[in-house]
Amino acid sequence: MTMAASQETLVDEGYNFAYLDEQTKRMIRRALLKAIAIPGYQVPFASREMPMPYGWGTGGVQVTAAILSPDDRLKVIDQGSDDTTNAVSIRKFFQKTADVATTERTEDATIIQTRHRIPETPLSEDQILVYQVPIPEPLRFLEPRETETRQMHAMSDYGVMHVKLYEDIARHGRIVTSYDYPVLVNGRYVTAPSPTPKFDNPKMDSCPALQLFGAGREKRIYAIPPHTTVKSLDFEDHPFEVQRWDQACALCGAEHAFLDEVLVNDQGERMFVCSDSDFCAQRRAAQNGDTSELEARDDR
Amino acid sequence: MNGTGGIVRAFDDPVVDGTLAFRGLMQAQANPGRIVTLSRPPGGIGGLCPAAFAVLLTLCDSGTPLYLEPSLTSDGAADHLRFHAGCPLTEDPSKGHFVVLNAETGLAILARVTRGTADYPDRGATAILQVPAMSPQGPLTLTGPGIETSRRLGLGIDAQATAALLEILGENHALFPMGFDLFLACGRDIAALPRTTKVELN
Repeated sequence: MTMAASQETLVDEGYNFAYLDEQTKRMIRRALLKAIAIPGYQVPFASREMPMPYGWGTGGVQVTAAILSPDDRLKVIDQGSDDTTNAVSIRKFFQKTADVATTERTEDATIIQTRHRIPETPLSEDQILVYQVPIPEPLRFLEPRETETRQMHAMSDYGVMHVKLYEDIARHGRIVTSYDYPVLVNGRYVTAPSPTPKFDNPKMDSCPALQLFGAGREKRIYAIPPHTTVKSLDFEDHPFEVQRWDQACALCGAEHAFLDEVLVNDQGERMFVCSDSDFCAQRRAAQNGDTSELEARDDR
Repeated sequence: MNGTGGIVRAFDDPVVDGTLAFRGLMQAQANPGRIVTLSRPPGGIGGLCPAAFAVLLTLCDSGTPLYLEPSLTSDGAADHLRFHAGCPLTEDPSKGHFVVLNAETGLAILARVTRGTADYPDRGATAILQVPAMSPQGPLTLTGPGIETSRRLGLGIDAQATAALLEILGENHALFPMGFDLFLACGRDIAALPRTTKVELN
């Protein structure tokens, strides 16, 4: 360990670079390479106990820790936002254990760890998107037995998923699944995109960035290489479609971004704003013709 | 190499250099056929080129049996891998999680490495093939995940070896999702041909 010595930040020298020991990193790295070689297939791995509880992104954190290099610039988002508790604490974790540079600007990041959103800004070939995944098995709620779902994947036996989507149509007149919407990766494996809104599914298809998925509690890693087909399951007469809003973002006026509904006072007034905080702030800064707003994010 | 038969240094900085080597491997695996030059590899050891040695140092440990083709076991490489990586060596190529071969001599062995099972295709082997040269122009055309349209690759092996390699890779690709994944190593350069990649002669 030499790289951390120069800066007087809160870097903790008591740990190996990026917290995990080298043996653990090797195990995760082997799983990652196999995951990339078999797009959408869930590779079992020996998930470690991390200094945060399951459900806080231990899978994503382990993937990030195994790939992180001192040259990286890390961005962490939670529901699209850089400044919520989960994002802030994971960002601080890697500042502390790896002394890694961080950013909130999507285009400046080399690694983006995300909980439940894909940034609105298109990703590039030099970027890696790391998803935190709670339930990696898309068939789990339809078939609870791991022995069975493993067989179903081995045999491409995915009829039950189409039945589930069909039952949506029979009951509600349309497919109501709105997040964790199942996709078919590279024409072979039905895969859970993690609980991202289905609004983000089209961004996964032929994405130039490498997409890695880590599920800590469930001990699975999977991946989608760049330029790989990702098709949201649907029917010819009920084609896949994404959410739409009949208004624009109240802050930046974006019309084609994913919007959160926010209560603004005790009278129940509400407004719709971009869930991607960086995208929204950059648009507002461009409208105001300055970048000071980007530095002073805590005004929101 | 030193002449005393002793063990020489592997990665200068095992943590950072190992991470950088892994990022090179991951970049290669995610972009099949792209030639990635490893930034801080170890020196070569015996018949192992720096890139092949880097793959083994980055990924192998006590849980991953390693098969070295016979021409690679004699000159210290095996001792260095036992010392630096702690991996058990096997003499049965079908038992190796990692398999290192030379393109000139090892293609018959490549056909025998393990392909995993339909339930656990990730148990297919990772093979490392040392080739005499690699170039982004060449007789091979690659398509598949990680490649936007197609990519070219040349390996500096003769037409007969190329035909033999294509036959093995074609059969491997057809087995998907089962199969082995191949790294090509030459000097400090590494390229990957995972099982998803379709390899054809122009």
